[in-house]
This record gives sequence, structure tokens and C-alpha cells, in this order.
Amino acid sequence: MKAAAIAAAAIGLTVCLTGALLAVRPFDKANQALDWMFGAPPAWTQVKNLVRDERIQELSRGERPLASFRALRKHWEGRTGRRVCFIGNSQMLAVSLAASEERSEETEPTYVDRLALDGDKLGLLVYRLSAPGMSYPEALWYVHYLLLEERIRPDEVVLQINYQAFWNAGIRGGMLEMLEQDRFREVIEREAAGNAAYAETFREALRTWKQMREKKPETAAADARVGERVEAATRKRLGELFPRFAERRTHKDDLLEMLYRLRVYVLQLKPSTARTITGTRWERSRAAVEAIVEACREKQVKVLLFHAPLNPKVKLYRSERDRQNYREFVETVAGREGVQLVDLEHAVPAQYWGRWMNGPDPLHLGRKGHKLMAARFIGLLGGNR
Amino acid sequence: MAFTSYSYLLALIPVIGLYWLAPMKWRRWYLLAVSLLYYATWSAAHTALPLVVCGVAYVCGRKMEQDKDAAGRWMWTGIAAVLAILSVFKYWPFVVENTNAAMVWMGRQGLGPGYMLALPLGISFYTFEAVSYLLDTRQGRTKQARLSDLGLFVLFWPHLMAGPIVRFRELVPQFSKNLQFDTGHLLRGLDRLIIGLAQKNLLANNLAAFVDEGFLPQAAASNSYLDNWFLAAAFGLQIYFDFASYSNMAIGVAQMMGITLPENFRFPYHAVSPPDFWGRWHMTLSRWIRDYLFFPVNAKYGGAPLPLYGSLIGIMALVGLWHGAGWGYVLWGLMHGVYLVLYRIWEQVEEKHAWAKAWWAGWGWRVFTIVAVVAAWVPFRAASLEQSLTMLTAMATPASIRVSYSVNQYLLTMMIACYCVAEPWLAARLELPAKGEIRPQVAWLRPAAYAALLFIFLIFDDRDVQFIYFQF
Repeated sequence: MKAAAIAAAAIGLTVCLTGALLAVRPFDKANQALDWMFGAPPAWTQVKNLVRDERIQELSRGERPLASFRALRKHWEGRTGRRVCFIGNSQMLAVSLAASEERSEETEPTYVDRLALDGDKLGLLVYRLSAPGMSYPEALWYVHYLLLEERIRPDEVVLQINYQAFWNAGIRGGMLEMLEQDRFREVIEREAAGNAAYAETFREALRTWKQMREKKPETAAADARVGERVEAATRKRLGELFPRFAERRTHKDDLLEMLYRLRVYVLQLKPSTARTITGTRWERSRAAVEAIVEACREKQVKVLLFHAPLNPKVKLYRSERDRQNYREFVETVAGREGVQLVDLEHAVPAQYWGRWMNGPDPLHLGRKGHKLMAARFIGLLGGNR
Repeated sequence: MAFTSYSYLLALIPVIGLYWLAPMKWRRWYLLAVSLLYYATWSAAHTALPLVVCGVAYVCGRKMEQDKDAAGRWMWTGIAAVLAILSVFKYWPFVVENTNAAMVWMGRQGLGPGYMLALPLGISFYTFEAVSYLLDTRQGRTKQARLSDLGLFVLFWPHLMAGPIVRFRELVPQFSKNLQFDTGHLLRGLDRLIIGLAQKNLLANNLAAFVDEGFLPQAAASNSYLDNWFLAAAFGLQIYFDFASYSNMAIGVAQMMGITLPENFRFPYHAVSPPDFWGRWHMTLSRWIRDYLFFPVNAKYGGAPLPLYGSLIGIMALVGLWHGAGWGYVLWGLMHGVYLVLYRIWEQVEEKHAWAKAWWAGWGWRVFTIVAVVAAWVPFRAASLEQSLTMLTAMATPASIRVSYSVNQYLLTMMIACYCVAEPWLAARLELPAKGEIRPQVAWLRPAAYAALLFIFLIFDDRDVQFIYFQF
């Protein structure tokens, strides 16, 4: 009896301590401590009060895009104006205040938001499809979706070309819900069956989506193993009973953030560290960019490619050869397909860039930087084209 | 139900509770029923298969006891039947694949998907256990078993899917002991279970993304020298922590019921030579091969060098083939066979020359072993022989040291490798107290350690990565 009591006490204490860890977010606390120790700028420089408007933005940042597309359909239905869709990474959706910029209580727009909000005056219906670390296979994924349906098909796609983004690969889990739509899934399945360099990315996405469906009790295939169905139901029930359990993955993000901070602060390996992009990732990204341009041309959708601004304080290319290879590829695609290519690499001076961790932000612009970019795009897209 | 699934972990509480509450005479039947139910959660259709294997082993074992003159014949009949079952399910796809390749080469249409068979989980493990039972019975090391004992020997769920490969005489007598509940059993079992859970989700699964990406056929063609070495090391670490975590969970759950399963790993990447590696890696398979294959084969030749070397290479190729029907596995086995032969040759040099016993020779073998073992993982993981050769060639020619994947993947591999290096030291520090003696100063630390490891397990449970050894 005593043995059973000791065992029960040990298990009970374990459960309580695990619950406590889930409640206190220990890695988030560690992140705050690291930022303090290594002199990161105050948290408010990463602006939180951004413009949020479902008519002009995909609000979920790629995590639940279908709801955003429903809102877009509703908004664009019956409206006149040139439909312009901006596709790119977090440079389009974040504001990281520069050293000279003050905190503001007002909501902060990015350059695409400014264009979208002023869209009526310019005769434009602007929409932003962006997500942090968006890969080009993801951009292609979005383009296929937009092109399928008349109601949300843009007249013009403005595609951000960013050296860093060529490093990314894969389709994020949140975007897989788009596969629920049969016509879209058929397009992706066709791509996955092809020989393009990004086909494996799409195959992996389809595999993951199928696994995810099997885990959901409501969609689990009737022939799924008993164990899989029981597990799906158990997870669902645990999530309902214990909200902390359902939120457990935020701790993983905190932990990964912590490791990332350690990498940057201690090893000095920063996202701004110069690099050569080669191998499969480079090939997949290249193929995806080409496919985006081709798919748009087939549907008579105009494409504007632009070299994303780079922070002059940061050196991203490891060698001049890297820069040349990259730019040569983009210029070749633009020339071959006859699409407009705009070089905005030097459009934003160093003082208008944000600060990030203990150094210059390699990707995100400050308030003024966004204003400069908006002005450039007003010139590029303004009504007389 | 995977060992890392919540449904399984929650089900363990009543299952183990009822086990200890059940009267002794019912326990074996209870375990048998739970084991069958567990297997059915994976594949109800294949549940009959381990039962058929048990039936074959039981009938042949009984005949061996009844008719001593024909015992050898019955043993071979049993082994042939069990291996036939294994061959049909495991190697039939290999036959179909190669037949298809030959037919396509001859300009004819290949066989359709209808010719393929699904691989029943755990078949490689429970058939080897049945074979060991037949051999042990024939050689008098095991007495003829009751059907329920044999059923439990093969089906006992903690080791059913991926081992450890147990022997009848080391497992079954434990079911007859009149064990009383003891906190020591439970806590020692929990130690292993929770360590296994954290190892699987934190170490093995997090390496999977890098390995999966880098071993894609398209990727392999453009990988650099550095990429390939990192990928091979990452896979070596992934498969180690994946299988070791499974073994920890299996051993832990059995331990919670007072049943001791044999160990399967002993810091394999700390091996000082190729034979030492095999004394530390998948130890229960190694001893099976040694006792039932290597010793009998070599007994005939009295240790003559050439037959010995030939048998080493041949047996290791078979070990490769046991893992799966593919030429990559055969190449992996052959590479290990060659390593073992090289070491045997070196041992002869060592006997004759004093210089060969110098410290640098020992360190040389240590380095060779780790490098050679890591290189051998390439054919084991690659999708084809062609891909293996491409990667191995790149690994032999340090022409390019660029990195093609996220720097995080390389750092993660290095971090896990560092953990692997420190593992024996950590294990020595955390050594579990002796049976039934939970030291008070350790007892109160346990819930804190459990909570930390469970927390890690919980937050990393988003990748649905199956145990690698389930496919073997």
C-alpha cells in the first residue's frame, strides 16, 4: 500500500509540474533574459499595432488562408479597378522601427497597406499575400489558387524577389487546408507528378495533408487503423479538456526562438551572415519563380518582379559571383518572359531600416522605409499604366 | 498505437494498474489479450500472422519432444515454415520490383500493384524469435513450451513490433514469478519510458527533416562533400536515437510490470573497433546472428581465415537483407562485413608485431570505426544504389565544402552529436539506484526530471514520424 502511495505521489507531482511548465512559458522568459543580456532594442520597435484589414491583406500569415480568401472574394465581387496582388515575405507585413523612430499609438501601415488604402484614388484594388519566410514554392502555391477562380484572379501580380527567400523551401502546414478544394488539389497533384525541381515539395505537402486528415476524427478515413482513429479522438479530447495542452506548440516556438537567439548572440551566426545559396533549395526556388511567371502568362495576368530592398549595412551575398548568379537568373526570366523587372535593392537608405536582436535588421523596414517604398510603387502602379 | 501516442500512454495507466491487481494465474492471459489487442490497433487483418507463427513453432516444438529421432527434421520444417512466412511478406515486393525491372528491360509490361503485399509490422522480429525457440528446443536449451507461454513469448507487446529480440528462456520464466507490486519496478520503468519519449521527439524526429530533405534523389545529386557527411551523420544519429528511444520505451513498459527485457544499445558510437560496434548496436540482433548463424557456420571451418572472412561478409549481407528487401541494405551489410574482416586481419598483425599495439593504432581504429559506420549509413538510407554511389563518391572527394541547407540543420546535428559523445558520462551520473532502493535524494528529483522530459516530449509532438525500425 505504501509503495502504491509513493508511486501515485510521484506521478501526481510529475503531472502537476508538467502542467506548471506548460503554464509559465519558461523559454519565453529565457528569451527575454537573453535579449536583456545582449542588448536587443526594446520590444516596441517590432511594431505590433499594424493595420489589420481583411479586405486588403491575408491576415493569417499563411496559417489559415482560406478564411482570408473568402473575405477577398466578398470584397472584390462587383468592384471595379485593377486588381493587384503583392506576394512576398515578412518585409511586406512587418514594421521594425529604425533607431531614429519613435513609438506611436497609431496603427502602422506597411508600404503595401498604404497602397491598398489609397487604392481607390489610383484605380487599384490591392491585396497583400505575405507570410514570414515565404518560400517561392509557397508563392507558386498561392498563384495557382488565385488563378483558378475568376472572382479572386488578379490582373497583376507583384512578386518580391529576395535573395534570402531563395533559401526557403517547403509549404507551411497552415497552407495545406487549401488542398480541401478539389480543383486546387488537382493542380497541385499535377505539379507533384511532374519533373519540376519543386515537385518534391508539393509531393511532401500532399503527404503531410493526407496524414493530417487521417489524424482528424471528422475526416479520418473509414479504413484508417483503429489506433489512428483512437489517437485522433484522444488528441481532440485532451485539447478540449486542457487548453494548455492545445497551446503546447507555442512552447516549441519559444524554445526554437531561444536556440536561434543563442545562435545569433553567442555564435554570431546571423540571418544577415553572407551566404551562398546552392543545391536543391536554390533549384526549387528558381523553378518556382519561373513557374509563377509562366502560369500568370498563360492566364494573361501581368507580372511585375522587383528586387526587394536590401539593408546597406548588411552583406547577404557571400561573393560577387553569388550576386551575379542570382541577378542573372532574375534578369533572364524577366527578359525571356517579357515581364517588367524593377530594381529596388537600393531604394531604402541605411538609416530607415529596423534594428533586430543586437544588430541591423536585414529584412524589415522602419516607418520611413515603408513610406519610401510606397512612393516608389505609387509611381510604378499609378493609374496611367 | 505508436508508443509515443497519447492514447497509448494514457491506456498504459489502467493496463499496468490492472496487471498488478490481477491474480497471478490470470496475468499471463491478461498480457496475452492486451498484446493481441495492441497488435490489432495496428492491423487487425495481420493479427493472425503472429498467431500462425506461434502455432507452427508450438507444433514443431512438440513433435521434437515427442519424436527425438525426427527432432532435426521437425526443427528444419518449423524454421522453413516460419522463414517462408517472412519471405513471402517481406521479400515478395523485392521479387516483384526486380521482376518488373527485368520485364521492362525486355520490353514487356511490368506486374501491376495488385501483386504487392503489405508488410505486417514486427514480422522480422517475431519470426526470428520463433526460429530461436525452435533452435533452442532442438539443442535442449529450452523445454517444450505451453502454447500460452509461446504466445506470450512472441506477442508480449512491448517487444512485439521492433524488439528487443528476446530468447524464450530469458523472458518466459519471468511471467511465472509471483511478483508483488514494487515502487522500484514502476519508477525504473518510468525512467526508461520517459527518457525514450523525449529522445524520440526531441532528438530523432528533429533530425528527420534534414535527413528527409538531404536524401531526396534530386538533392543528393547536388550535395557537397560537407553536406553528405553531415547528412550521413545526421541519419546515423536519427536512426540511433529513434531505435534506442523505442527500445527504452519497450524496456521501460516491461519493467513497469516487473519484466526485464534485454538491452539493445550501449553507446554504439563510442565503439573502439567494428566488432565492438556490433557489440553495442542492436545487441539483441547481434547476439542472435552470432549464436544462431555465425558460430554454427564457423564451427565447421575451425577458424580458417578465408572461410571466416567469407562467412563474415556473407552473414553481414544477410543482416542487411534482414532489414529490408533492397540492394542498399545489402551494400550496408557488405560494407560492415568488410570492416569486420579488416579488423580480423589487423588482429593477426597485432599478434605478430608489437608496434601494432601502440596507442595510435587504438585511436586509429576508433576513428576508422566511426567514419566507416557513418559512411555505411548512406546506402542504408538512400533511395537507390545509384544515389548511394553518388553520395559516397562525393564523400570521398572533398572538392566542395559549401552548405546547401539551413545552418540550423548543421548546428542541430552537431548539438545532438555532442550529446551522443557525452551520453556515457551522463548515464554514469544518472545511474539508477539498485532494485527496490529508491534513494530519497533521487526520489524527489524524479518528478522534476520527468516533468522536464515530458514537457519536451509534449512540445515536440508535431511531427508524425514513425519509428524507423517498424519497417524492418
